[in-house]
Amino acid sequence: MSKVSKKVLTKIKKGEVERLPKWRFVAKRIFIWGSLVIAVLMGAFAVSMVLFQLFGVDWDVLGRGPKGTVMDALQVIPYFWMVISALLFVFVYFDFRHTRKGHRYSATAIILSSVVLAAVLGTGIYAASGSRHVDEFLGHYEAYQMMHYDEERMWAAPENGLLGGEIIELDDGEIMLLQDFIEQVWTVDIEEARCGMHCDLEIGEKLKIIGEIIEGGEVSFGFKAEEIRPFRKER
Amino acid sequence: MAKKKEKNAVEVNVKELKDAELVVLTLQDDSEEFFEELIERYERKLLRYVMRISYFDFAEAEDILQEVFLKVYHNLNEFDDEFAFSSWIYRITRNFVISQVRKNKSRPNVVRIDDEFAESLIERLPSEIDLPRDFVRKELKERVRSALAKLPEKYREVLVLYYLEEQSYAEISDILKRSVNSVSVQINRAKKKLRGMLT
Repeated sequence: MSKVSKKVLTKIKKGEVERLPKWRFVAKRIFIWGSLVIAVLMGAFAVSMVLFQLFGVDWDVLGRGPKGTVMDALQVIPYFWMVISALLFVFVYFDFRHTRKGHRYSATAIILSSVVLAAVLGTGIYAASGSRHVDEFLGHYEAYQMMHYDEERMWAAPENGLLGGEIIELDDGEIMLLQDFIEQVWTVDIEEARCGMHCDLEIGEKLKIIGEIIEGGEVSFGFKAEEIRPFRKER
Repeated sequence: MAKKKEKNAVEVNVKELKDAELVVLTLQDDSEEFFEELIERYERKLLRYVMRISYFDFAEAEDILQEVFLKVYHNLNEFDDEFAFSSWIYRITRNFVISQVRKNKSRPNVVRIDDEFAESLIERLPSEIDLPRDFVRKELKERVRSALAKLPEKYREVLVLYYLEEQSYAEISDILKRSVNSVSVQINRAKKKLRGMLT
């Protein structure tokens, strides 16, 4: 028996070193994989929020908002969710590297796989309206609203043909009274407006209207609607 | 002569057992005989390995190795037989050596390049890195030793594992916790760098 062997075995016999129980290692693996699954699911939610915000943008009227094309374009990019997604993918990479076989895969393969998985799950969450619920929930928090694409400000440009607000009165499907976001009441002529699949208007509903200000009419704040859209897209 | 252990009326020839089987038997059995066999199998290899990747002398390397085997025993339940036991024990050794080197930051990190390392490279590398033929062997050995000493640690480390410890790319990947591709790239770069230093 060698010197090293003798010393090691003596220490073991004396009980100076004991084996760690198997459950400790199993628990560690469960923790790593559990956090990995949670991170991928959170990444999927973040991706669904990116989709929600990008699909929620009225790209056809971008640039007609009060701030102009460049500012509007910069405003609609969902930075917050993109940063959250990126951080989660970095976490997934390092967490996966800590799995038993994680080191066998390249960084590109790990990150690409997690992005694809999160994108597929995120699309599913978006399609199931999950992202809308999250957005509505987070919308109650001022901090979130500040980071969010400000749809109200975008649709507060009647001089550029964009008017947003809440219906306060409806009259025979021809005229409605709409209160905009600075509480100005507008008389809106909707007789010739396209409304797509959203023609059942109700008092209290928020709308986005494309049209033009009626100049020199009988009412001081008149607006002729060409197209009516719901304020939030369904997803 | 091979040791034999009688267990449940079945005679087990310890020398014939695979490493993973010895681990299982160590975990099942209260005696340390199976673990002793593992120590015997790896002691010399790891002693050389410790000295090849660090500045520690023989006595220090022995102390390190003692700690390594105690760590191995302590964490034996972590061993996963989907991996080679050698990769696992080499990884534990490497990590422990790195931590010891970090603890002794003030000590200059001058790695000893033994004759065997230089000889082994001279034997195995010519076809791969086209060593100059006009050198006499002694001179060549000195040049290889000097080049290896100057080689960045990350390159020397893969050369040690591949040429001296005779680990496969997959095993090196498990020891260093890097992908096989990364190991392959590292070995090629190490050879290229060595060639640059020798020609």
